[in-house]
Amino acid sequence: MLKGILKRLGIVLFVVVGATALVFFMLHYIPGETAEVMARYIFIGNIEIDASNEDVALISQYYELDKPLIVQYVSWLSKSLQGDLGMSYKTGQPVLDEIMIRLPATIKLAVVSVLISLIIGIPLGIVAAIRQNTIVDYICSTSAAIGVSIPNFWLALILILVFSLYLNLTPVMGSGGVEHIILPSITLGTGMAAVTARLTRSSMLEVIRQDYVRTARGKGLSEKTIIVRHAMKNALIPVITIIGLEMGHLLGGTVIVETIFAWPGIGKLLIDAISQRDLPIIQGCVIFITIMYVFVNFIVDLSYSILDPRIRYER
Amino acid sequence: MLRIKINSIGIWITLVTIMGLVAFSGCIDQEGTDTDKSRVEQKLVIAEPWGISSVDPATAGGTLNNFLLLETLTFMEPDFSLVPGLAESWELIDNTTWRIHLKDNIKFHDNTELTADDVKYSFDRNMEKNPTIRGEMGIKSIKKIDDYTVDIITDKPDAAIPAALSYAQAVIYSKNSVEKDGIIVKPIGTGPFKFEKYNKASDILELSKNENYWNGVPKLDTVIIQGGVGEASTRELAIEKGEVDFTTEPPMGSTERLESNPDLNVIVHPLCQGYKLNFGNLSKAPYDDINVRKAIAYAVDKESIVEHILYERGEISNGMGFVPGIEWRNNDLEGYPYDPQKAKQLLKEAGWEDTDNDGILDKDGKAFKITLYTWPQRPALPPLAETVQSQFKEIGIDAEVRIMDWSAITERLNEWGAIRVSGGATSMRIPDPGYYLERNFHSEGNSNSYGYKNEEVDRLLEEGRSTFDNEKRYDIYRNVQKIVVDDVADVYIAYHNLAVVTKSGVNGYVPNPSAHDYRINPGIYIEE
Repeated sequence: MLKGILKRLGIVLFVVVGATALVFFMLHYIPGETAEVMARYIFIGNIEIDASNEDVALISQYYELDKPLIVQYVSWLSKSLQGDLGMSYKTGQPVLDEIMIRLPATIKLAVVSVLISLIIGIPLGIVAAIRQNTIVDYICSTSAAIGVSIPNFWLALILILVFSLYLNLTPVMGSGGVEHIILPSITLGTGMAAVTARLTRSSMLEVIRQDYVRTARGKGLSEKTIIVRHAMKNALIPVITIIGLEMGHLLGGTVIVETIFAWPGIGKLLIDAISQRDLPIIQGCVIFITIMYVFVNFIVDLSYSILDPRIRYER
Repeated sequence: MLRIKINSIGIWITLVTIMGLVAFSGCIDQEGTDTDKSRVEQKLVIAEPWGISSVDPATAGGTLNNFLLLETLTFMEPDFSLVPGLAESWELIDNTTWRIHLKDNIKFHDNTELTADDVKYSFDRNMEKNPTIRGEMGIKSIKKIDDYTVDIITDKPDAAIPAALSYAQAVIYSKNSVEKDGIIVKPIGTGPFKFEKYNKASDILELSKNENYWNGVPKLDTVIIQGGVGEASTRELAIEKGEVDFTTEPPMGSTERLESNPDLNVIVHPLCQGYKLNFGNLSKAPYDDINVRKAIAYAVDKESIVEHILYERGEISNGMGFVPGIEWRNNDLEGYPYDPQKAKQLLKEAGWEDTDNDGILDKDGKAFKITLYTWPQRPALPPLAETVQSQFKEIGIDAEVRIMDWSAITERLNEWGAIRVSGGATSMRIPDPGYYLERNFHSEGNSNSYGYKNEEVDRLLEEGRSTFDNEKRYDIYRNVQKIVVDDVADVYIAYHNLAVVTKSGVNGYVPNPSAHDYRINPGIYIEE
């Protein structure tokens, strides 16, 4: 167990260094000189107004963007390893503060969305599998297909239109209250629920053909017991893997939904930072997202052994 | 691994439930923005398209100025007249020194008096933290003369300084403003509204009434700004539901529908911004030929663009970026009306003819195939570019539309025949003709990436800056406008009109066309 955790930490460090280096160097190869982009977005405050060469030179010098890339990266890395992630170019505040301030909203949205996808997706998938090739199965599969195909931005606007405008039940946008999280999490949750349902169905179908299920039937157990106690546990393993990946993805931010609902998450922070070339924030977000992914997948691995005691956490 | 003899599915479900509860309880103890209280309350809730993210005046000066927290030394009135702001008067001491006399009865929000020290502090700090301010305003340094007098020293003789002092980024704030790590987190200004708090997590800025405002007490008690509502549809739905009282720029096609809603007011007013075509490179073929440029200018059907693309949220221009009412505008200019026949004629004169009958003009074996580049952030630009594309087709120019980030566009403007379909760039960021004209049409202007060079224009622009008699100056600049439009340095298609949507109970909003993009005013009040 301890060995496993240490190994994970090693992986985190490796992935963080790799990912940040990749992002750092790639940023310099996308069009637009960093200092010029910063001048427009951060200092002039309007991308449509050109900056003068003198300003670009000054900014470049101030943020040491005129040094060789490798020097910039190594200097950033050595500071980061000592726990100093630097200051945001845009706000001048510590990167860690900028991320931490958006963390609660991001985690809330991710957790609630995943919950919604589980609550809808798993029962739907199980029912579809048990009643395979019946009208119930077709309805479930069709709605899952629709759920996957609906684009987030469209669903979000339709939900606002119906629930906020016509029914006056939820606020259009903003954050803070319980009521604010309902629409964004439904938007994200339903798309994922569809994936969850499809996966649960196919995995369930495989499991209920297994010998031990037949044995359980032979023992004379009730269908409910067979499904809940014997089949479902095994069928959920691939589902959990996907949930883990989706959770990691959600913690990395969901730009479109965040933009529509004015939800202050990590996704928007990162996208804005990329367009403004706020390098310290970009790097900070990359570190954060990497850690989140590795952490969530660690939890997923642990949960395998809860679901299936044959799997031990030893790798 | 530890094994407990409980149904492990049960554990999983319990875990999920607990996670859910934690998430929800986390939500409950935070206060929301209550927007549905009684309307007689003098409270204005604004949905602002851009994120606020910082309240440090050095970079957020424009925002804090637009929401009347911080003020400038001079003000630009909605009718484009320059009036005293925090400064009482100004005079020219010598060619490079402007003496500014401050009003002596102005108090900051913390009740301390505004003095020359604060003015110097603000300028020094703004210029140090934001290098673009110094360059933009042309200020070298600022010197305190006595408690109510400062001298502004310029790099070269500069008649535009009084106008430059109204620049939204040149805001004045108290040296007692609260700093943390060198960043101002609580700006103390002189404006009609005081800083209450800024919640970065939700991007909400709260302001309250300044009872001691030097220029009359504002009517609103509270102003709440929700920043970062970047999606136009969200702003539209929020104002329709009544969640906010004031917002701008709903989706282009929605103006009419919103106007028919009795609970809402839609105010469409001109801004000193617009849409135009920038030639990629004026010193290379095909745009080194003025007849080709003129043909392009005649080929664009501005009227149909205003009607079908801008949904009347725009107006045809006279070929220049100054809207009617601006004193130095050259009102004799007429621009280039839509005339495809004339365009074809001009292209023929320039040697462009369809010799191989494929519908595309050619010259010396080269077909007139070009690319129109534009960016997606301004919603009207992509459809506008497509319309221009089809209008070019009519005169035999085969254009391709490519939409990409503006930073990627800059690198491609040297391609043969490239044109940038631009929007936004305001002509009144600093309300003086010099800035916009020099930027775009001086051979060394910041925005003159297309390489427009006319020695007469350069000379006039330099003369204009150092001419201190406004009548003479404006004549010089009117002359520049004429030369530039005659030269077809760019093709100005239309001014952009801003749409402001308010609840019908919101009264007293006076549009300020010189603002970027809008500025509230102390006279706004809420009626039942």
